[in-house]
Amino acid sequence: MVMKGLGRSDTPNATSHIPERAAGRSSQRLSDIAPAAARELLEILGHRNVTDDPAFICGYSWTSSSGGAPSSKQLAEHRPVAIVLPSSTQEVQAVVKACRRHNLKFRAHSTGTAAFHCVQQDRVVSLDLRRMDKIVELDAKNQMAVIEPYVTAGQLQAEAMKVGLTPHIIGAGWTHSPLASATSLGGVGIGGHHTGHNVRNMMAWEWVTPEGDVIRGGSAGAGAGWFAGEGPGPGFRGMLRGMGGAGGGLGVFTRIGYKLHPWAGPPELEHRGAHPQLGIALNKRMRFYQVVWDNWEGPKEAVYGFMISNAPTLIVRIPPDHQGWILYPTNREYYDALMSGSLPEIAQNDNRFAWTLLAVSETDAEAEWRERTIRAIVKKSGGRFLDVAPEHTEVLARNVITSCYVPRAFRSGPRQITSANGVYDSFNLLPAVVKTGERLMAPYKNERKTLCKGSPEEFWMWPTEGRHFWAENIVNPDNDTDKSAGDGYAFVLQTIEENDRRPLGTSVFAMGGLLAEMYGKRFAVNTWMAKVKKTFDPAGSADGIYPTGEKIPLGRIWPFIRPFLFRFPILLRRSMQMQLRKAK
Amino acid sequence: MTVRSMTPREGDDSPLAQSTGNISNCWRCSHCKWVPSPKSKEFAHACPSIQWGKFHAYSGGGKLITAFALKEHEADYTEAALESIFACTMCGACDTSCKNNNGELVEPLSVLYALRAQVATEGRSLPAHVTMIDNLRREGNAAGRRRTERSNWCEGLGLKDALTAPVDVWLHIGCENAFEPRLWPELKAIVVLLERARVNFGIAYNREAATGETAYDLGFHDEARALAQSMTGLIRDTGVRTVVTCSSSSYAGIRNIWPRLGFTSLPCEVFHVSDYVERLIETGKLSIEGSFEGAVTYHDPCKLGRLSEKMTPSKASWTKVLGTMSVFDGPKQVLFGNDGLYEAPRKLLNRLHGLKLVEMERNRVSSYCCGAAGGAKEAYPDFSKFAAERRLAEAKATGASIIATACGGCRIHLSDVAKQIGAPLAVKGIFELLAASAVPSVKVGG
Repeated sequence: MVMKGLGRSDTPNATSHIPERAAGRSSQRLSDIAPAAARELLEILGHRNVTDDPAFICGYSWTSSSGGAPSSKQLAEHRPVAIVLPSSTQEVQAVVKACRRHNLKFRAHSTGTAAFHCVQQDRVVSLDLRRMDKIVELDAKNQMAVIEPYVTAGQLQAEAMKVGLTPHIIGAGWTHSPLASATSLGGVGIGGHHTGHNVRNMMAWEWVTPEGDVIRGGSAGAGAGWFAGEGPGPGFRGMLRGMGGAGGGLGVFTRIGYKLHPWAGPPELEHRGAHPQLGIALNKRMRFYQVVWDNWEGPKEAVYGFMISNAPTLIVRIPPDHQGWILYPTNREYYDALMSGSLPEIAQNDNRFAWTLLAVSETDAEAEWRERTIRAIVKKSGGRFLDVAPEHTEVLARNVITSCYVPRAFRSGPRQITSANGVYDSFNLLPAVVKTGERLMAPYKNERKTLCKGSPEEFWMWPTEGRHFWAENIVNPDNDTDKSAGDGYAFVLQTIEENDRRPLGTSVFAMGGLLAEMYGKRFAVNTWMAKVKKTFDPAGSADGIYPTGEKIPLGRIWPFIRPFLFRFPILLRRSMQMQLRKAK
Repeated sequence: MTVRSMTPREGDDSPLAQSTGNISNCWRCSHCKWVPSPKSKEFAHACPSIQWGKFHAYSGGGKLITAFALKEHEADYTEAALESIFACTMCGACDTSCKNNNGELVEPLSVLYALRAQVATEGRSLPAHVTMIDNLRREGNAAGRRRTERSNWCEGLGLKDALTAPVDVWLHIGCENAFEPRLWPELKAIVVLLERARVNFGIAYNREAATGETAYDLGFHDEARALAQSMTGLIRDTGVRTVVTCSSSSYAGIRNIWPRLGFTSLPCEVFHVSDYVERLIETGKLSIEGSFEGAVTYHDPCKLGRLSEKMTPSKASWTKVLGTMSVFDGPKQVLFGNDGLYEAPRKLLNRLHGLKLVEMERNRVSSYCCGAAGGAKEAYPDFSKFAAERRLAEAKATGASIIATACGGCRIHLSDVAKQIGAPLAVKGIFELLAASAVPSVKVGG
């Protein structure tokens, strides 16, 4: 049986000699392995919302961060057996139950950025939640929204700004799904000083459990609205996602109450410049500052003042090379400016000890107070203000407000999106964290030349939730070569190892079963999350990147090989390269 | 340094060969699905195809993955796969939006052209598109209307034949305008304006044929080249230094598609008629006096806007700098859509006293396609209608009573769908609006 999927026999374009399957391909099809399930899914969703067409399956198997094109291994080893497009919680529930009846696993995703749409094993039905895209409610008075999975942060921000609010936008950029971020993965973004962290921006939630039950939690669980995550209904928001999130491994989240934050700027951003270098009009109530110091002690000292006073609305540090990538529309233009020595100061490594600040005020008096306060803090900490061209301030201000250009940090080469090491701790650690990153990165940048020779450490930093130190080290390997890609992964492990050993804060991106096992002692939270997984998904129906507690061979031998790998990095690099070759 | 995954395999001369690097660079960020700066939830979509088809395969990035899968024999030319490729107007919105993040790295539209050429090369084109190509070969227009009917619109006008009479300007009509009686009043209004400005112009009557961009959109590059060759021959035959085209589609074809086919230098300047007439007014050779009380919104045709950006071909190839960063090893233009023709039609509309021009949220480089082009209307009418409905809804949201456009294809498609769904606003061509509001009170200057 060939699943009908999108194919319509009544279409005027039906071609007459379509082969059912190209030869020599290993992809599985739901209609082959579970015809009854295929029929059931079609009955639930209709033929336009179910497919197992190989071309469509490939669209959900794009391993954008590893592999060596042009080999076919740009496509994932595990591919979903079908893609389905539910439009409601009831349809999600029906799909989950159908999967369980037919011994299939399932995994939901929203926008599915990079490789986060990929499944982790065979026999998985992938739920693309694209049809669930409603802002159910935008409650300006209570500064919150009720949203479905496929509302993007950009869409929500556009609507929220009209009523004086703005959402948190994570580093993936504004095309991400706030629901997915809040319920299932990561949740940190450069606006975090003012807009928090999605761990806590999620309030009440609606959840289709791995066993197919629909549960509303927090205040929604008691029919009291969507304003609180910890009751009076069932309140285990923390267990649902922990720090990193289950990445689909705990079922499907279909609706959440989501916290929004005050926005004193205009209801609609007034754009300047030409695409893609669009900026926003700044004015005396929306002011941009680029502050630099001579070493990392200055930014460390100043940030406490910024946080305590709350004078800047947004605070972020972007490495100078990435500032440059943001300020030039193409790699070539950036590179030419670099080579000709015409990069603006903000994109020069000498000015890397820096904070970028945006102060947004309700009144002129407030704006003046913010400016005075910022200047006093900068003066006290020995900093100075960098002159930035107006057209550049406008572009950077747009970036920091909308996270529009954040993905440009991934622009240095093919498919490189390695976001290495989220350090989540105290700002006292800032100098040590940066120094460590610089030391670990130096051989790859300078001698081996396997990571992009940009800035010395590539840290993006900001105060998340207005108090915690977040440092995220974006490495830029060249995934065209095993050597460079392997070095990228080796660097990631080295940073996690350093954080673990010294320690230098929590490595939030040490996610997934393998890393959880390797660093289980320090990240005990993952051990507990494995118990949550076993409790709510005893059959392992929900595919995801959640720690399951299962023993992984590398995890078993890790304690024994670990000292050698990090004492002799060449072994670590070779191991990573072998891993990549094996994946091919 | 040659870049492994960015360059074609040795001996690979398939249409998709040169797209290897672009495809490889797509990291599925999904920016291709959305306008660069959404102003609302409702009108945040950039791409009608993904909005209609919903599976990722319908998006710009999804089509790149499909291209990879077909090339690597990981997928088949199934009905579904073909629908995801061709339920698409080739409007270029994905390309514009992608560049918000990815600069020169992905270039979705170029890959889409190559993908369609690959489909055609492998003989998998849709029957509706094969018919269009047959029509182009036989009658010089995709609709299959008789060549001899091309100049019916100007019967009795006594226009000069640009191929026999000495003229300064060839007024190029375009297939969509020449064969559609509902667009003839606009053509006649244009004639009136040119005559009143004392422009010495002629038309090519029935020797005019399609410019080639439709064939290119459908993946038939040889046919496109033949049509372009034929038209460049006509330009030479007329000896004119100025071609003024009434067709947005042809304007895009000449400026953006012809260079891809190797036609990079023309012995003449080419203007879209809206631009040309506006220049006549600006230089005092023509003035328009008229009034229109009410709000009008302007629909930027994809072909006149981002797709008309003048293209300069390059043979630059990928290299690596700074250790890992991909750049081109020589000059290579990156088309962002900014040099499309956006202002002239607006200026013309604003010349009507009392007319209040209100913008849709998605305008200029971010304009949302009406659904008419790229062979979508012929092959997937439901999709095509879907796109028009969305555009009409956006126009309605502005409060305007009229949606004006400068493309005959958009004008007819939007009108038809507006009529079908009972949309509460009228669809007008800009010259139709000018004619109704200013002509016959057009004051001739100069």
